Amino acid sequence: MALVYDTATPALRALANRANNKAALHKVAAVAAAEMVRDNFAKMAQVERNKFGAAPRFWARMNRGTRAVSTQVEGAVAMPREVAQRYYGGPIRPTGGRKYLAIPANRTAYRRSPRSFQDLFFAVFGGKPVLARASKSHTEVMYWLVRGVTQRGNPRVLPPQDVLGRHVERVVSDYLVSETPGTGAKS
Amino acid sequence: MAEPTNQVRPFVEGVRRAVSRGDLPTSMGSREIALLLDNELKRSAVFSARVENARVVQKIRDSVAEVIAGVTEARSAARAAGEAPVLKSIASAKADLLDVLDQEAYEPNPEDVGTIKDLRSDKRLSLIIETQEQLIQGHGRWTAGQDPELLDAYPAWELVRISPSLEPRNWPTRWMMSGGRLYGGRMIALKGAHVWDALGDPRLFPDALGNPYPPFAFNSGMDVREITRRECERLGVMPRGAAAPQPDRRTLTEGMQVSADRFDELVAQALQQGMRLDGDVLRPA
Repeated sequence: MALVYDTATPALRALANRANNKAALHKVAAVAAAEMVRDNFAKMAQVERNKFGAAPRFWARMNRGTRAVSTQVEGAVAMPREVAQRYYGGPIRPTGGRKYLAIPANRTAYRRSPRSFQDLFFAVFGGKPVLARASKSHTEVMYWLVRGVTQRGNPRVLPPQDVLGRHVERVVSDYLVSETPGTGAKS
Repeated sequence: MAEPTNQVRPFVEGVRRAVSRGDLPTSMGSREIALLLDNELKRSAVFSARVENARVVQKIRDSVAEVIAGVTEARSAARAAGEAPVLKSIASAKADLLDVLDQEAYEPNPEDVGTIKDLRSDKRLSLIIETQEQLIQGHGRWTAGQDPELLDAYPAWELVRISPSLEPRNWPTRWMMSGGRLYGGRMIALKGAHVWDALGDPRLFPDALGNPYPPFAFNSGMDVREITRRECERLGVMPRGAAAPQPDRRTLTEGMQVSADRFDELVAQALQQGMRLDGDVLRPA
């Protein structure tokens, strides 16, 4: 008499169960995509420097704000809106009744609103409107005032679609065939 | 701004509608965010006994919530009407807080002006808003990661750097002090492992925030990424076919109370010892 362990049938049953669980598949796929996007943001954080030579905190914020979302029928990666501006580019105009955008001209002004300073005044520097402040020895330009800017899109912000797609397929395939406790049965 | 393609927009709108219907497992609902901020901010935002103004605390809560909320229907409508930007920036949130401090006639001690003890200082405001934002995002991801199906597919996290730091802490050393193991130099552990609690334990690390999820310490450039079951098995983090970690069912309030206690205590130390922000690290002066 031989003792036979039927490992194929339980494994196939598990595979079929997983393949039929669309919600789980979309969940797994969405996480795989989200993590690849986050990895890309981490790379951007390592290489990008702002005009003051500092590593911007922007990509870390985008990284932490990115997450997977999914339903029974679809999976997606939710990212902060600022990512879209960087990826697609386009015009940025002042809102809220303001006439100008305030672009930091000085390291001290970086990541601060002009409203957070007590001593700024409007001036014209080199024919351009600015917000400045006076120090003991000189006048310091803190912000350039512009009517608007147009950003160029940067496709490197996100992983290429084909690379992302292959990664998600690989992760989902691995998930479908992975063993779970209890595979293998005596017969 | 250039609009997304026609293929992307309906999909995004569909997801957004699903979220608002409650069909999607959101990381944090508005009620949870409110509860979280209530617990955190009522304790942790009031760093000094002199700052007990409820309006200031409320404004901190509202500003952080606006930053985290991202694009909302109200803000989209305001933008469409040319009344406001569609997003609340951190710079703008800090400026709002300054407005409230002005209205409440807050004045720091003369010797504290411009230091971290000065609630008006940019460093202090940045610390408040950015830390709160990160804690809420970290908690949201931690909660989402407790889903049983995701625990089966992604049973572990890896501690990784997502942002350069002016003065990075020695995280591999911290990892091993916390009981973690290195896998080819990588800091990976199953999601239920004690190392995640230990990394954020202020009894081990004075600058820790008391959470089992990132940020584990103030001004940290570290976060976690999901590791697949296949990779865990390949690296030896778990045996092939092993059961997935069990979901951690700790309550929101429980986790946040620890964090709020630690935040208060740490900044109380800062007030007493005259700590200073040295690059990204809070150090004694």
